[in-house]
Parts: sequence; C-alpha cells; structure tokens
Amino acid sequence: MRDEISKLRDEAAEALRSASDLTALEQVSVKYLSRKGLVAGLFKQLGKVDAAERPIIGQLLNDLKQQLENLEAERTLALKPRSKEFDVDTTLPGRGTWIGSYHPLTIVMREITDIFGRMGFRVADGPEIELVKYNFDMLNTPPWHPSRDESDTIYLPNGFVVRTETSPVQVRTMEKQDPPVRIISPGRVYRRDRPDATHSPMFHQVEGLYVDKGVTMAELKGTLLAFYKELFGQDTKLRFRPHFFPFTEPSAEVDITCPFCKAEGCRICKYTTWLEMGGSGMVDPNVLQGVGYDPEIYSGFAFGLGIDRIAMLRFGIPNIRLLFDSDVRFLRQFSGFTPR
Amino acid sequence: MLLSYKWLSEFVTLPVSPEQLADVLTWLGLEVEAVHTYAPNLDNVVIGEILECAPIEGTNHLSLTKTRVGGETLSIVCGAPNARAGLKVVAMLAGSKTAEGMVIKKAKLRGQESHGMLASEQELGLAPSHAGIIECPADWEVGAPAAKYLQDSDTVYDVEITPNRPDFLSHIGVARDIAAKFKLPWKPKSYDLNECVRKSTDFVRVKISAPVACPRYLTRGVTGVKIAPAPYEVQLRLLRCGVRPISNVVDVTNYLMLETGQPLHAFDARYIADNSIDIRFAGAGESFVTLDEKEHKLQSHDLLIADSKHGIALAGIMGGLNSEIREDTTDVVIECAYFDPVHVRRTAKSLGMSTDSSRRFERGCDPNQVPYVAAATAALIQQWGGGEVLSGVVDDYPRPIVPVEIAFRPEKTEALIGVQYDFAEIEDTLTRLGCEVSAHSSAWTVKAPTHRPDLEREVDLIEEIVRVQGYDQIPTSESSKVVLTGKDDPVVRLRRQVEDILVAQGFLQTVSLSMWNPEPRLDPPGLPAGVEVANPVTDEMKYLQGSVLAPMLRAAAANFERGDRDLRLFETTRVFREGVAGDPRTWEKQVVAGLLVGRRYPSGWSQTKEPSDFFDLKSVLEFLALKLSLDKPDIFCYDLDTVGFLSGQLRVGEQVAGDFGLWPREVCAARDIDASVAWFELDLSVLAANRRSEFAFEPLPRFPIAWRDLSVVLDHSVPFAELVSTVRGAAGNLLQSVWPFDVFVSDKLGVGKKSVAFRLEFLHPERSLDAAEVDAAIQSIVTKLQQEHSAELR
Ligand SMILES: [Zn+2]
Repeated sequence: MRDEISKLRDEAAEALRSASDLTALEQVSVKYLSRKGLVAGLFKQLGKVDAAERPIIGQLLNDLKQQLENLEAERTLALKPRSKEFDVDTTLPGRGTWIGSYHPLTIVMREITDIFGRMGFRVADGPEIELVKYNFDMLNTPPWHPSRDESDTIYLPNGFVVRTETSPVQVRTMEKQDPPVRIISPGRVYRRDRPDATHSPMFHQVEGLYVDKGVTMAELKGTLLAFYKELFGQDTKLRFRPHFFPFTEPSAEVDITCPFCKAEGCRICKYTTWLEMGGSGMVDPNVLQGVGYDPEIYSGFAFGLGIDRIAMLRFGIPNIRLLFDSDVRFLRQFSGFTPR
Repeated sequence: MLLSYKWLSEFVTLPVSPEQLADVLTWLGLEVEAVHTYAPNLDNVVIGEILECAPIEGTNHLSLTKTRVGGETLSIVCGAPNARAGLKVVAMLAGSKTAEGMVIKKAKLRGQESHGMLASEQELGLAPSHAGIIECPADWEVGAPAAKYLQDSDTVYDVEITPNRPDFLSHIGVARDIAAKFKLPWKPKSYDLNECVRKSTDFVRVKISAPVACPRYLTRGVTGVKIAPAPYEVQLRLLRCGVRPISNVVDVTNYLMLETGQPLHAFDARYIADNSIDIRFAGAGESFVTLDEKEHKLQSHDLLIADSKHGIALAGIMGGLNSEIREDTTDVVIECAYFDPVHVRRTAKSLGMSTDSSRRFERGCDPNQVPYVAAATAALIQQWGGGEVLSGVVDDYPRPIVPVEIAFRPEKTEALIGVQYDFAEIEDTLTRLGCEVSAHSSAWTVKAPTHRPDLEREVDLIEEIVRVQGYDQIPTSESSKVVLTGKDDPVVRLRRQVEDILVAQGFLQTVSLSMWNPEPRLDPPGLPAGVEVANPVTDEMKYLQGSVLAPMLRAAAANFERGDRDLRLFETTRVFREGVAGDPRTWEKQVVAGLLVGRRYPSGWSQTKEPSDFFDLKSVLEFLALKLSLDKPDIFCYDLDTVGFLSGQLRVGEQVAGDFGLWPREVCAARDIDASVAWFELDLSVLAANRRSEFAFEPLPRFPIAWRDLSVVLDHSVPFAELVSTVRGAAGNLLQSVWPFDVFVSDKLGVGKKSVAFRLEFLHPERSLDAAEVDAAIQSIVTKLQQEHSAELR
C-alpha cells in the first residue's frame, strides 16, 4: 500500500506539472482527484489494510490528497490568463520610505545604559550649566587644581561653570536621596580644548555611582569587569592602575584588554594590548560627608568613561569631528541600528 | 619628570631590569610616557684637541678645524658654534657610528677634506640634543679612547606625576616607593662636610617678615669658590634629566633638587646688600627682574627675598638677575627654604611663570629635609668648586611643621577594599613609606612623614597599602545585593521615546556642538543667541546656544552644498537662556528640534516629486503628539498677516511646549538653500509633564456608521477650523467626526474662492440611524454654512 501511494504521488504530480493548458489540467484532475479518480480508489482499499496499520495509511492518503489538491490549485493559477496587475518588473526596488537613523553616540549610549540598567543602575540627569560648588567643591577638587583654571574650563561671566564632567549629577542626587544610591549619569560635558582629530570642546561621558553600606573596591572591579565583558565580549580582562582623582580615594585608572586584536597588539592599542577606559575609585569620605552621608557607615564607588571614544573605537571612526558635523553621508551609515 | 635608572639605584638596589622598571613605575602610580635608553657606541671615537679653527668662506656656520687626535692631526669640518681652538673635543673617526646609525667616513664638505666628526652628546647617543659639541674637561688625555671617559649608559623614564605626590618629583621619593614595594633595604647617601671656623651666622643675617608664606628659611655660606663646569658625569646626568648644565654651583642646586625634590638657590654674596636677607611681601607695583631677564610688576601678595635695598629673588620661583652666580663669583649664599604652597601658586599663576622650583613648592616640599639638603649643597659646591664651607647654618623656622598623626584602624582596609590584608604587612608597608606606626591596639596611631603632605586621613593610608601591595591583588567581586533605586529620569525616558518616534518617521539624528556665535544676516531672524560665556574656546563658540535651529540650518546648508537636498534632521539637546541668579537649572532646557526640507517622499521610481511643506511638518507634530500621548495637544498656528511666515506653537495642557514654522526661501537663501525649510523646537520637560497616564479602551460601536460627503465653495479666507466648528454646531450630537479630503483654490470657482470637500460620519450609540435623520442633520449643516460663511454646495 505504501508503495502504491508513493508511486501514485509521483505519477500524479508529474501529470499535473506537465499539463500545458487548463483543459489538459482538468483532464488530469478528473483522472486522479475526482470522486471516482485514482486517489479515491486507494481510499476504498483502506478497509483491507491490517487494522494496526490502518490509521497510518489513512494519514498517508490524506496527505497525498492534500498535496495533489494544492498542486492542482497552484497549476490552475499559473495557467489562467494573468491580470495586468501582475505584469510588473519584480526586480525594481520597493517604492521606498524615509529611513531614519540613530546617531552613533545614541547607539553606544543606549547600549551602555542598558547594560548598567540590567545591573540596577538608574539614569539620573542634571544641568550642563553648573555651580562651582557642584562641579568642583563638593567633588573634593582642591582649590588649586588645574581643572579649575580658565584655560581648562568654560565659565559664564556670573561665575557659573559649564560642567566638565557629569559627576555633579551624582552630588545632586546624593543630596536629594538617602543611600542606597545606584545611578549612572550620561551626558554632554565641556572642556576648553581646541578641536582636533581626537579632541572636542564638547564630548560625552557616562559616570556611575554606588553608595551603600559595605561597598568595596572589589565590587567596583567586579561591576566594571561585568560591564566591559557585556560591551566588548566575554573574554575581556580588566586591570586597575593607581592614579589620583580628587573625587575618589583610592583611585584607579581602568584598562581593558584590547578587543580589536584580542590582546595581541595592534595600532589601536598602540601595541600595548591594553586600552585605557577611564577613571574610577572609592568615593572620597570628604564627598560623602559633604552630602550628609556618614563615611563611617557608608562607602561607595564611582567610575567614568568617555562615550565618544568608545563609539569611535567601536565603529572605526577616525576623527571626532565626524560625530558633530551633521553630515548625512555619515549619519545614514548608521540606519541599520535599532538600539534598545 | 625624568627619572634615571642609575640614579634611583643609588638609593635602592633595583631588583628589575631597566625595561621592567617602566612597569613597576606604572604600578606605583607613575604614568610612564616615554623611555629613553642611552648606550653610547664609542668604537673609533677618541678624545681630541682643536688646534686651529677657521670659518669656511661662503658658508654660514661651518669651520675647518685641525684637530689633534693622539699622534696625528686631522682636518675635520665642524658646524658647531662652540668649536674653537684650544678646546678638547670628542672626535668620531672614520668607521665610527652615530646614534642614528650613520657611519662616519672621510668626506669632502664644501671643498674641504673632513676626516671625521666632532661629536655632541646627541650624536654619541649619550644624552638628548644639547647646543654644540662636547666640551671635554682639560684633564682628559688627547688620543685616549672616548670609552675611557664616556662609557656611561642609562635608561631614563619620562613620567607623569599626579598633583598629590610632590615627593615623586625627586629620585629619592620614587626610590623610596620602589624599596617599599619590593621590601628592599634603603641605601642612605651622605655628603662629607668640611666646615671651616668662620660661621655662616657671621656671613649673612636673615629676617622673616612673612612667616605664613615662609615658614622656614635656611642659609649657609661657601667662600672662595672657583666657578667652573661641573664634573662631566654630573653634566651628563643633568642633561639626561632635562636640565641644562651651567656651572658647578648652579649645577649643584639643580642636581640636588632632582635628587631630593628640594629647590635651592645660590646667590653671589657680593650682591646681597649689607649681607642681610629679608623675606617680605613686595610693595604694590614693585618691579623685579628675574634671571631670565624678564621684568615683573609685583603685587603685595608676591613674596620676595630681599636684601636691605631691593629684591634678589622671587621666593620659590626664580632668582633675580641682580644676584645670580657669575663667572667671577667666589662667595656663595645657599638658600634652602620651605615656602607655603598657596603663596607660591598664587604668584606663579599671576605672573604666568612655572619653574622646576615653583612646581615643587606648589605641591609641597618637605620642610624638615631642609638642613640635610643645605649641608649636601655646601659639600658638593666645595667638592666641585673648592673653597671653604662656613660652619653652621642660619636657620629661621618660626613655625615648625610637625608630622600629622592619623588614627588608623587596620581592619578598615579590608572593609573598603574587599580583601583581607595582613596587619603585619600593613605595618611594614607604612613604615617603609616613612610613617611612624604605633600598632599597639586595634586603633593604631600613624605619624605621616612630612615629605608626604598628601597623607592626612585613614583612607589615604589605605590607598598607600593597596597601591604598594599592588592593585592586582584587588579581587573582582560581584555583589548580589538587591538595590531598587527608582526609575530613570522622566525627561530621559521621554527623550528616548522622542528619538524612537522621529527615527521611525525617517529623521536622521544629529549631535552638534552646543556653542555657537550668531551671524545676524545669515541666520534666520528671531532666534535667541543664548548665554554668552566668559572664556570661549574660539570666537565661533561665544555663546551656549539659545536655540539649536540656526546651527542645524547651517548643517543643512553644508549638506545642501554636497548635493544632499532632501533632509529630515533632528537633535535632542539643550538650549540656554538667562535664568534665576543662583540656580543654573533655570538657565537651560532640554529640547528636541527638527528640520524638514526637500521632497515629501524619498526619490524613487514611483513616488511623486513635490516638495514637503508646512503640512508635512504638522503631520510630524501630530504624530509626535499622539505617540507621546500628550494631554490635549493643540497645534496652534499664528495669523500669517501678523507674523509674516507660517509658524505656530505646540500647546499642551496649559503650557507652551515649543514653536514650529516654515522659513521661506528668502530666509534660507542667505545660507544658499533654495527651498523653504520647516522646523520645530519643543521643550522636553513640558512634554514630559503633560502626558496622559491613563488610558481606557472605548467599546466598539455596535451599530453601523453612516457617512456623507459634502463639497462647498466659499471664500478663501474662511479657515477650515471655523468651518468645522460651524458644522459641529449645526449637526447635533450624532456627528462623530469631520475631516477634509479635498481642498483646492481656483479662479473657476470665482475670484478668491476655494472648494472644500469633507466627510462627515454619524453614529448613534444605541441604535441604527435611518437615512432621514442623517439627511436632516446634513440639511441643517448646509443651511448654517450658507448663513455663516456664504458657502454654496457644489
Ligand atoms: Zn589592540
């Protein structure tokens, strides 16, 4: 029985395919699929089949009938005179619609905020024009620190400062909220750098802060390692180098293994196999005290990273100006990204 | 700061190779920016003496020398300005090789035979470039291989010092950290001092009139010194560390500054009037010439070292031209002092001066190292220049600076870092760094050494322990604490949605500098300049932008020029304006702005080619309002006759969210854009504050909708919105919706007439409508339209 079914399938399919007009197709149909056709004939023999086999053979026959009927319907459409509507050049592209794109900085920024979001960091925001109090004093920046100089930082005539980092947001948040505080603050920052291929007087940062009871530097390292693994791949390694930042004590410069050469040395990492990503450290007790947290009870970590550089590394953008030039030939290249 | 491997190893036996030391320095917190290796190749290099030296005619600077190199005398052409007869030199003979790899051969230069080259330090690979050829000491033997005197190799590290570490501006300071890291014994250095009978106190008198600015001032005298060059190996070491050798006495002060971090000054005693020194503030407007021959007008906060008549040094910054060491100096007054960092910084900054001395005083020197360094100075001057060291010192130390005592709980290290530290190791590390540790109970007392002014608190000591024992020992731990810290900032969330909506509408997101300078005849009228900054980066960045629209139009123009003429651009950014005096948050707002110019549909094989216009802009705003679920949005347009160009306001709730409009061609032509450009700029905070938070589904109509189309001709001046309100007023409450499906103006309809066709949909919630009811409603609408607008049915 199985053989018969299979033989009939091949035979009927071949006949349906080779019918060259609707009349011929009709004849084939009658022969196989009509009430007295060959398929119906097979159904009649079902009663003779061994009872145990019967459900299986029955299913096979149903399948056969279905397949042949589909094929018949397809062939009918193909042999019918075609309507004008279908007489088109299908190789033409679609009519087209405006295609928007996210700026590469948005793509990277969202990826970063997404990763930190999954680690429980909330996005906090603050003003770009700041008080010296928030931009320097409460960040424990000594009065003589060169970052305060007018040669490094943009001021307004009334003494307001155009923020040089997004850390003032951290201070503002701590002032408003009791621990635990777990935030990141992405945003634009400004320095008095003359524009060139790698410098811009305006650029973008993400800074993070976690203050709670018993926060340790080991957690800082763990958090940053988890983050960079998500961003650059699971085989990424991280190291801390001692450094000095007024905001933190101890402070560390964060390096990660170069994701571009898999730590074998390349032009991007200047053959060091490491890439410098930004500063970090344990929030200085002076900062905690300044916002009314007791440093005997609470500790915290903070870190920062530059978004523009990550975007440039990520997409191989050679010149930072391309980011800020609004050249649509550049912007359109990113239309394939739909960030979260 | 340039650090010499050899110099460091005078204090501690370095356990690593010169290559490995760079990493060690990095792990101690010194950023190594460059490593210079000096290893001279002295094959075929000998000591010579210039017998004759004559300029070669027709050249600028070349001389022909006859140089004796042992048995023979060679003709050697030399370009150095200091080549002169009688000078002992280093001659590179044929076959020798310069540091750059050039092999010296016999050659003809300007028609003159040259049998070698007279060498500078640079060419021999001894030190970085220095003006002219090496001037050898007179006692070097002519004809001797140069290797006898110059076989001196070293590795020098160019390191960046963080501002908290004044002690790292010295070899001793860096060596101390290396010794602590590797637990190595310290090799103290001592200088033999042979004092004569005469006392320093008889030689010079000191008075500190400004004890806050100058807590300690120590002098000693050396008489009968002969000014000469310092020993060559000292000159070489100075050169390698970036200091130009000058003379034995001056070189001593620089040498010991690089070694100990203590800036020193040497005065010619002849020019200290009445042998009296007063450390006092300058008189306002007092003029002073520093030894770089620059004249400064001083202010009353500038500290001067003065004699009985006038200033002789700018305290902690630079000596005076009037009292500097000269070739005929014999009696020297050594100044070794501690100046207050704040005062030095203020003067250095106001005078725009930054010297090796000021950089060290600004960060904080060690006031208690002063006697040792002064003695070393005297000893070295005597060693290199002869003379007699007067006995004792003149030491004025009105306000002794004592070590800071820090209460330290060793277990706090583990609490902050997250890994256990051995208490004995902690004590050892701190001791090796120069701290005095009393570790008798769980509350230790740690006296921080005065060469480490950065150590003031417990946490500073923790940092030292972790740093010296190695940051690589900090483990990576993943916290499993649950921290719920609330939602993202609402404006940040809205901004993300606005970006999504506009990207979906085919807009390209731009990010542009938020600083600009208006160009009034070129930018569109009516846009605020923003907030002027006090110290702009460049003239083009004088203002924090008051609106992003003009900068965006400039960007559009640049794209136009490149041939991209169909633009849909948007940016989420901030704009600035003067706000409340003490609150910068009121000085800015977050906005989304967009530009729309060019075709309505992207160019393709089947799209119509008409340009986009004001109503394409309105669609974008309507779409945005809908998608953001704005509460009662009103896209309000101004009367064209009043404003002059198509524009309006997006209003939400009781607030104005922003403006939109269409700049006509005349406006855009200033930027060479031959099209009108539609724009909008909306305040994200206002949008965020006016969103509907609740939504309830409306049941689907149970009965069919009845609809009618009406087409009327009426005066062009009647706005559609008025038409709609007339229709609504006349139709009764069965009318569900009204919208226009055709609007056109034509003279065929009559002068100043237009035709408006609209669809009306009627619905009764409880029953089917019959045709007569709808017809009655239509009849009353038509009547009302005739009465109020003289509208005729077409
Ligand atoms: Zn690499």
